Amino acid sequence: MSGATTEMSRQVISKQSQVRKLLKKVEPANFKERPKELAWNKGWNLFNKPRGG
Amino acid sequence: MSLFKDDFFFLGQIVLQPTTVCNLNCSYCYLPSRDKNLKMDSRLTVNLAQSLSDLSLEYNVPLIWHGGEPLAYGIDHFVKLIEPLEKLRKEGKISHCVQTNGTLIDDRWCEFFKNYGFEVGVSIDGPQLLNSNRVDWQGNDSFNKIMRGISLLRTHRINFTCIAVITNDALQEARDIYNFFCQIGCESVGINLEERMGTNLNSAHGEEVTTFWEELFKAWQENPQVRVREFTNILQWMGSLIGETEAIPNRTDIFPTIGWDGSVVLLSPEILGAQSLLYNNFVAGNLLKDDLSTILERGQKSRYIREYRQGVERCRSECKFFDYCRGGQASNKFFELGDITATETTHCRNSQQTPVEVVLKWL
Repeated sequence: MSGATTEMSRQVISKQSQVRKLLKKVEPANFKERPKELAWNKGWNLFNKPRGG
Repeated sequence: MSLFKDDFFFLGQIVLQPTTVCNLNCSYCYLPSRDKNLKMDSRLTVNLAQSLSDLSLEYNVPLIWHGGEPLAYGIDHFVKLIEPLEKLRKEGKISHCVQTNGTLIDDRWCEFFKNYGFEVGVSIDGPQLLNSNRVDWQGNDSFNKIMRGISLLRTHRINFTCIAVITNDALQEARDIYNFFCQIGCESVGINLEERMGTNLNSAHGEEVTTFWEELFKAWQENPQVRVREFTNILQWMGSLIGETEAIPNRTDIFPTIGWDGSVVLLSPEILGAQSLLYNNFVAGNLLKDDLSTILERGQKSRYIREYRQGVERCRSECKFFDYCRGGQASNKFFELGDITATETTHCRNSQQTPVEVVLKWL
């Protein structure tokens, strides 16, 4: 981890109670039956692209 | 059988383009052939089903039907297209998702979505005044037709998500946009700030981008009724830093997109149909001729993929947001900078870095 990344992590840790509180509001209902990787930012409803339709 | 030579990639989801045509002509659309009615042959899904069966994957792979406008393919043809995949679906090996502009949804389509277990995503940019870029080929507003489609989804009790494209004109309207998505009953919304992509040369820019994310985050915090994709992603990542959620896997979805003619491109659907002096047409193979594993194997050796990996490694060493973003989008690097080995793009700043900074500031 670079120094800048570490600093960002430190900021997150300093606000961990707020993070925990908001995490409860984004329960991952759409993560079911997805490979672990897709439970992250490349997952379908959560995926970045494409934008169309 | 191992699909990949190392742990850099995995096969997560597949985009399919049943047709190039779209009944809308949105001002920011990046697709070059949306006025041409080129349609996928059902032989292609026979081959796809065989390929996926041969891979013996131990998890569910979402097939995302995109376009053009996928419903413009026609429901009877669509049934023929997905029937070869039914065995895999019933075994839980695949699932169907569709991203539609919503204007062609009727009762039959709703029954179709339910019968085949589709997850439905509707593309709509917000309330009527902010949806004015979504017009048909005669320049007519599409809002009422989209809302009629959404109303039918709700009547049929079909859950749906939304994707909104936000142009510079709409950056001041974050609260109205969020409130709109609360009102229409969607489960979540993904925010796509307008990007320089394909045939579209504009992108959201300026200080208003930060203001937009700030106002959106505040609106969501005040009434967290609809999940916002970007905030969900960021909070999940932050959760991993404090041990609340699992760490983001350090792998990239190779994300095949299968075009109407069987052409397969990797990493970014937007490059389907693009041309480059360095990378030609980006096509790694054709599913009417080769199986998917052969195409993925060949693709990993292509210059395009090798240079993308170089770019990701540069991102890893240079960018403080890497732990969250994992290396940026190939299509943005190509269309914005003409260089797949590049690192930071406007898309990175607008849609990854700024929202992270905003959430961190306003938590």
